[in-house]
Amino acid sequence: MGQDDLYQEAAATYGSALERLARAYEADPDKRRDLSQDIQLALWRSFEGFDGRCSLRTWIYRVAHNTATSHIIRQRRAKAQTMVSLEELENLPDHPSGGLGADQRHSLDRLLALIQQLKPLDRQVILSYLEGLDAASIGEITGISPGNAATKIHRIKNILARKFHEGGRHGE
Amino acid sequence: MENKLPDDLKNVWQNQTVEANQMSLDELRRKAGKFQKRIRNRNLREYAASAFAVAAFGYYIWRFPPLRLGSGLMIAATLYMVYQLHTRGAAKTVPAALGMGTCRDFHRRELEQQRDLLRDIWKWYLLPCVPGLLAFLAVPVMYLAPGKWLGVVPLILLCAVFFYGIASLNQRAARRLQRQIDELDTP
Repeated sequence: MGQDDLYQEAAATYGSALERLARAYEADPDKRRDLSQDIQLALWRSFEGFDGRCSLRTWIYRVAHNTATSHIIRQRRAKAQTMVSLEELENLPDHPSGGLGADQRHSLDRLLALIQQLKPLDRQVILSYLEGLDAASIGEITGISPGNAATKIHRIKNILARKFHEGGRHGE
Repeated sequence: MENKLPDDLKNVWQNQTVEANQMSLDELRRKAGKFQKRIRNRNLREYAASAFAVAAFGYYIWRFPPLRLGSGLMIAATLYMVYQLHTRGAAKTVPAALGMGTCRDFHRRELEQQRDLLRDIWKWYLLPCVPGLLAFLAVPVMYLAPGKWLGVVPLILLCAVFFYGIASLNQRAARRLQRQIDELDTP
């Protein structure tokens, strides 16, 4: 398959996932559109060197996360934002708001707000988990061991359950 | 409900409405062309600024003989900095590298590149200017006030403080990046 064919397959199969990924890395709509286009351009250019050593899915997610990570590193330099690890996120105070059952739109906003605070590696893990990838695939994309990925996923589940359950109780 | 939450959140995440933003192959080619042009223009601007500096110091060499040594050293420093910028810029990531390695390796490489650039700034940006600057400072003493070397000391100190300040700020930023690199290696 050539560069153009690979790109078209990637866009058809993972287009929505890539848009969600861009959304998790950039809150500003205009910058998000730019980031999304940068990801597509990076993907298309990268396919020139795709050698099949890893699956197409792994390649696509690596390129997308790496492009988005470079984007937030540049943004951070400009805005001096601080990012937190999963451990630090666990200890951050929760803001009273509705739980998951209350309003899906609101849940999504809260979820995005949580993700956008995370450091790149933890952000990559949580996004891969939300996209339905297993620990082995997450390890292949991010470079952490599958065991470490499984531990992080377990922690993510607990954080999400706690944050949203507590949010629900606050909102009651 | 608590146990179901993460799965429900997965559904919320995957079923969110996203705007279609897919680029056609023609648009991609146009954007790739623009991208290359932007890089080329940026390089041209850097080379033009360096050429201007070389021309200005070259004029000094021709017009003001006492400034020959300082100007010659400044030209050498400028050419060395251009070479460093060129080689360090050439080490930029090739497109396929984005997919070949894992995200952690890629992130580490990016941080290491930035750290090295900041940590070594005194070597490739500040230090090369010092001989030329000292030669310039020596001129007034040699030609206008022979033997009064002490008069130039405050200026040298001022330059030293300025250079030290720049180097320290960059070292601090490099240490911050090193901490981020160390964090990546922590399981």
